[in-house]
Amino acid sequence: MIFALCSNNFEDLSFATGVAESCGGSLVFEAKIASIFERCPDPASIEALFVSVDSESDLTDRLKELKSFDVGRVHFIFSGESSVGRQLFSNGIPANLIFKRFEDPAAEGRHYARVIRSRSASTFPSLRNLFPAASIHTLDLEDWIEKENVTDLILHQLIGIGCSERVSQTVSSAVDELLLNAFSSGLKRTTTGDTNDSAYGPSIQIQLGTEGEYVGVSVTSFSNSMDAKKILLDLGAAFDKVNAQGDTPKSSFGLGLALILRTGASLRFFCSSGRFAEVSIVFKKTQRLIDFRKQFQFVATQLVGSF
Amino acid sequence: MLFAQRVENSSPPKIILSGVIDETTEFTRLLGGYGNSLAIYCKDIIRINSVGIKLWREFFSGFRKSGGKVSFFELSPSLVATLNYVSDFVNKSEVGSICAPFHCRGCNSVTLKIYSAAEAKELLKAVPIVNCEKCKSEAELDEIPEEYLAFLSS
Repeated sequence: MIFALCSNNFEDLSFATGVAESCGGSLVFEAKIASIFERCPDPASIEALFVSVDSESDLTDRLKELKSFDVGRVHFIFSGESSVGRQLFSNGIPANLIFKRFEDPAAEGRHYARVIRSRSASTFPSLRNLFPAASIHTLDLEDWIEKENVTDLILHQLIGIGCSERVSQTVSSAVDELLLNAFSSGLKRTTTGDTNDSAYGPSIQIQLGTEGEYVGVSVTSFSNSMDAKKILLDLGAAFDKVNAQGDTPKSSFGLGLALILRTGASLRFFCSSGRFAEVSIVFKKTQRLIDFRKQFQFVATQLVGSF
Repeated sequence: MLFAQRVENSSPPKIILSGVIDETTEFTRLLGGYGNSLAIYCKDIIRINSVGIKLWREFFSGFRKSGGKVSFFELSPSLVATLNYVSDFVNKSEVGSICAPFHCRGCNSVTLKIYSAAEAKELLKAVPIVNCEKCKSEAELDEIPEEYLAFLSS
């Protein structure tokens, strides 16, 4: 496997090396994208291209340099400036963002490698795509009335696997937001409670797994009205809100995802329009919430089919 | 689900809220009918989601516009985080006291300490070490003071 990094920064190099080594690949390191394409004449051979960006204008320049390269295989390492995320996702670009907030870049690279490996492994949503060695607990949800009970159950399961109470509360709040999104994203929901009602659904699956010091919780919604493009727009709106003060009630679009991003947890979206949307929360098992908020963070997207 | 309990013979009405603020919360049913001056105690609010934030803002905005006065006491950490992030959530002058979470390195439990708005300002100058309620070991503030108390500066 070939990995590539376009950056001037040695922390980025350490991170990308960690990814490449973990995946058993080699790394091409250049300061310019054009130089990478010169060394790799067949762009399709590049498994993942890491690109350092510092600003919205920097991102615009890099996107032009990428030309027809599959943007789904681009992983932007950025300073956290929310306009970068907004620009990408609000324009329907299914890229990946890595927050430049490294504590141990090589180790964080090895952790991020799970996102890369899952891209080839993922044909159907499952937390096992991201956590192949984990023991996965699965819950199925049919009615939004069960939401609060399930959120509380996740809270207690997180405490049970050794997460602190505050971290568990934070993550279960994030799960609550994802369930809210899953049930309210234009999907049919029974008002009668009648399971024979043809409008009943969707079905939602929650999974929890842990591997070493990392934990994953995924919420998957199976529905034929799932719209991957809307999910990208929602993400773009979230980045619009993540650092700014929240706006008026009439525009709460993206607020839920913004609240999750502000916790410090990472998100990975795996969606297929008309079939499913899986959102996974990935985080390090810290005891203090301060440490949770400062942890290595990413937002990854993998969209399948047309969108 | 959110629960509201009125403390008898309190004036202004002291309402203790507990539970979760979310899309099921009916503020009018829970808080309406107590007059136009409220003292709301929030230590036991575990979490608030995005729809809960919207419903809270709608209710209290309407309450204020109709001449109501409200004070919030013992705001839980989730509400303090929301207060710092969301505009028009709670007015600074309405904050009577907040809860600050202290993490115990000995037993990993969290102790909530209550600070009035005036006492909270002192936390910005020096954060005390407190004793864990469970094991009595030293517990440290599990928040960055400047961020947690940002509302005091706004």
